[in-house]
Amino acid sequence: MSEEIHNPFTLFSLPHSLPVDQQVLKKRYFELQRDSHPDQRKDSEAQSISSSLINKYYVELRKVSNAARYLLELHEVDVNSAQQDPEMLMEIMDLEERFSDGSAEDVLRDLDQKIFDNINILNTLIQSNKEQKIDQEKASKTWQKLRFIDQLKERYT
Amino acid sequence: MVLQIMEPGQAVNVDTAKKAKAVGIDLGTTHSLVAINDGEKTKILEINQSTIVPSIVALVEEEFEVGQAAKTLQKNGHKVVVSSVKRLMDPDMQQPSDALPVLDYLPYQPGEMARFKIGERLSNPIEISAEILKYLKKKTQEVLGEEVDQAVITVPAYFSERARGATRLAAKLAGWKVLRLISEPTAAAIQFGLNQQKQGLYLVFDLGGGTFDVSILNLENQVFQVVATGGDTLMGGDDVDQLIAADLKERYGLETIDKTEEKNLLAIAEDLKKQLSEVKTAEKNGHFQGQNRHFLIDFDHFSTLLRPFLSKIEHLLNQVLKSARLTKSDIKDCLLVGGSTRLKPVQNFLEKYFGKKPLTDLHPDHVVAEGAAIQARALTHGSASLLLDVIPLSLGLETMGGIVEKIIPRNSPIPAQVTQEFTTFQDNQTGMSIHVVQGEREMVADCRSLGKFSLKGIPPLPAGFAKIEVTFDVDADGLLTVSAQEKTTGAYQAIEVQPGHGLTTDEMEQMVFNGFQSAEVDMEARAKGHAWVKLQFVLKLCQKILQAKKEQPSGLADQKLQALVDEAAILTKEHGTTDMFREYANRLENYFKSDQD
Repeated sequence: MSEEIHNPFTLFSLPHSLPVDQQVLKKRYFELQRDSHPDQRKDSEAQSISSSLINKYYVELRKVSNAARYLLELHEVDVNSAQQDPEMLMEIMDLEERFSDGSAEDVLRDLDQKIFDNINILNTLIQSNKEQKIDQEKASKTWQKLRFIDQLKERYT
Repeated sequence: MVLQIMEPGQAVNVDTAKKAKAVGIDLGTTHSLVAINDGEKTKILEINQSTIVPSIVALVEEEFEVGQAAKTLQKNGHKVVVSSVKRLMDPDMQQPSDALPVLDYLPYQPGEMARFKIGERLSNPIEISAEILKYLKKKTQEVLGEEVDQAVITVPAYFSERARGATRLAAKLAGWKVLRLISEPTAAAIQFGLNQQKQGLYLVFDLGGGTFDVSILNLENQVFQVVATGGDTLMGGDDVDQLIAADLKERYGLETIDKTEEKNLLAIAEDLKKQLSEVKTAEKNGHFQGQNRHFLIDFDHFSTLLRPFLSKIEHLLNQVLKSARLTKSDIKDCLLVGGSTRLKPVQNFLEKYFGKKPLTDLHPDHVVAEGAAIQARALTHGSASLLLDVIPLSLGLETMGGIVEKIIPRNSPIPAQVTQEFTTFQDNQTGMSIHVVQGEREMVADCRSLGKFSLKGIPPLPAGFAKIEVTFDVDADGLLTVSAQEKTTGAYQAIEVQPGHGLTTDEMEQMVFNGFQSAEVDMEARAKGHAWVKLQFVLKLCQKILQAKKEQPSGLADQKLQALVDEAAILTKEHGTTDMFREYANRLENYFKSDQD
């Protein structure tokens, strides 16, 4: 139980990889709330995990960069450890500019591709972790990039 | 106001509802309904041979008359009648004088509860609402033959925390034990979903007499998940009446009619509006300024009149879809709720908007009360269905400079608990004021204040070293509890509620029934607090500027600014007045601005 409290992937019985399957997430979310929501008062006082924690994780796992952060933290990666990459900042500024130019649909497609690419890098890093220590620097950098793109996408949709 | 302040670690006392009968109440702007569910069927209670009770209260010789009796009195020209009181439940929402043109209002400040004179009596919206609820309770008992005191009451989805608090208080005064306040569109969706076993994403379009709500719900295996909600608590069918009345005035040269005639014209407008759901051309006779008039309006003209109204609706629909990250095509069906959805132009608009006819098979007047009754049954007897609700408006804290830091964004699922860490901004700061606000805007001044309290006993440390954890806890009921604790000492610190701020139900009750004196003090204290914080902020800024100027090699001390700062710094929180704080803040700010140019 204590593992579930700290590990949303275990709590929602999700495979430890990205992206999170949103249909499975929602289904499991409903199941969990059926047990934990205060309105579903059970006579036995064995209250499992708090309803608000389930809500918190549910909201976070719906956002790919948050899900990635949880997953990396489970592999002891400090996502904020890497220095900001000037190259990445240039890329972000370029994307912002393209949005303001009005070619939103093209840029969104680009963003999705970039999210996909970065997710793949993270998945590979996580899987390699079984044999060797995870590349902190690379993982953190990739995550920061993913978060920027994720936020950008949120702002423009 | 539903802000509970309590000491950290103290358990919340949860009442367990007995398996007694419980009803659902649709407490509407123009009329109210009571329904009950016995586990299988839901029925609307017939009160005085009608399912609908007008939400109207009249005062007759110091006694309140409610419902049909009050409506009849109103029709017969009785002067002391109050209607549409629901529009006044949120003290921060202004424009009541438009909503109720004939009421005798006393002047009041934004943020205060409305006050009005009915006869010789001073009254307020909560008291009137309580009279309606008292009447419903009495009638429920008569119809069911036993005392029932538990209820689920519906409120507009977009009702603020303060308006919800006012509704709860009115119910408490009427002797109801409120199991839950649920949103009107949600109640409708529960009734619809359970009865028809539907699955998928539905948009509930709820246009009542005085409120407009839109909610998107995901229905899945008896789970009712509210995805997003939005609306306008001051928009409804009454506005359509106003539009028609304004048009009649213009077309028939009635710009100068008096208040009573204005009221008659509104009644004619309402009648014409209703006719236009059935016929192409509506007509009605009336007597104005000593002349008989024959009013005519056709459907096309009516549709044109409604254009601004419909574009406002379109804007809100777009907003809600956007905040749910959905598009029109994701919506399986649009469900119509509320009497004003009978308006043909509204239905036509929705058909065009979604590309398919909205579902009209729900009873627009009954469905909300029925859904509330189902939920009342579920909360008292348990149920296979589950309602997952969201908060309609963001909750946040005031930070330096009057800027809002959102702690729980709107449309977050509840229950929700969020803890955020704050720190001190001054060396050896031992106290911190925590100001809880609700709303979507960036500045505190544009949001609604829910309450303020202060955390004391922070150990003296350099600025930025203290760790203050503020926790927002919204329970399944939508009730907010805010607590704060200081972490560096490892010990919990008690929270002190500032006197004069009506934060608890008891205090609020006092506020309401002590002739509003405490409310005035409350407002003054709040305004003073605001002015003080602002002045301190501007002062700090100016002191920094002065310091920077001194350090410049060419350093000419700015004596004029220094003098102003010195003057302002003498003012103390205790002895200064709100006006003085404001005046100095403005002067410093203006000086600062002109200095920058």
